[in-house]
Amino acid sequence: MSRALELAAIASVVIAVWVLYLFRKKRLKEDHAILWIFVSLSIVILSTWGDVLSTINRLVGAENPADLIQAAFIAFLLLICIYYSVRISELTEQNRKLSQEIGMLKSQIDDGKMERDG
Amino acid sequence: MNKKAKVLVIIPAYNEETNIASIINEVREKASQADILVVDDGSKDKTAEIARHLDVRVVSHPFNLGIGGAVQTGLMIAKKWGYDIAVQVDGDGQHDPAFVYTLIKPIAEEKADISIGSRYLNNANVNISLMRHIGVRFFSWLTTKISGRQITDCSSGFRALSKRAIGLFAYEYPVDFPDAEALIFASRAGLKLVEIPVKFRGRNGGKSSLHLWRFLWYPIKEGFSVVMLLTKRQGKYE
Repeated sequence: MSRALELAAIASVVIAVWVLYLFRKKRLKEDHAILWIFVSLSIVILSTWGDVLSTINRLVGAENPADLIQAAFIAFLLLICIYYSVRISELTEQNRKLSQEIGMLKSQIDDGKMERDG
Repeated sequence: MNKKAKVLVIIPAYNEETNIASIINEVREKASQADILVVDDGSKDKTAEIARHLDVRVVSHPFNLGIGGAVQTGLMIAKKWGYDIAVQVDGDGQHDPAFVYTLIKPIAEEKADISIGSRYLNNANVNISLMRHIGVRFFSWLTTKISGRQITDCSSGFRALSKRAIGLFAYEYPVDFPDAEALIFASRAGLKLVEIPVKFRGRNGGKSSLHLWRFLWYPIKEGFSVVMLLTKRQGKYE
């Protein structure tokens, strides 16, 4: 196992532990925690299980196993970015709806007060 | 607990315009002492309009939060208004309100904090797909092992909750799948669980919110949540 793969495996274990810590502290939801743990474990398996990496390497024609992991990681990060863009758009839309609902509720309360006060 | 316990029937509903009127009328008929609250979970149809027309209290989410979010809203209101017992009756008509008082009994007698209507006890009818059946049986077995109480139907949403359970779940409740995780959480907080045999009915109309990806996602998420719950310190909830 090359030094780069060793480092990738160690970094992935550290990330998995950090993700579990964030989940326990309720700063991360289950869906996201499971996703990141799955990614971390995949990297650990690919980094330590040389045969799998060599086979994938031959199939895609990469020169260096570490390059393959790097390329896969960049592709994954792009997908994650798109996923979070979609989520942010949804949250923006929900935020807008909430603001409108609160505005309308406030106006109803004010109308009620004005009616009561004459 | 005195005989005049305040009971709130919470009906979470999402796009249930074909079922909501009949379930409200059934609850009124079969659980006449209970107040009714419909939690409209961001329906795009006339669910909320129909419920309001029937003169029950309706809380509408501006968008869909999922069954756990809808039930928790109901429990927060039950806590705020000082109800002694809350009963969840789903808006799709699968829960027969005739069992509401049977579910409430162990709580009124202070024998339990959470009373769960089980499809599996005493050969009560079970009408679910094989995959779902396997998932429910596995997580029920897991819940039994962890809680020390026999649980046969952890996925049943037909539940009655005591004031303690209302307070606990108003504070924290799983949003996506409030099944085994919620029961284990409650058990570890010192709440007593009991199961009562009930019969579930088929949907009268409308569409189920359970899709294929949710069936696949269910064991992963539920398993992860339960394992992580076990790593947390156990403590009594008062």
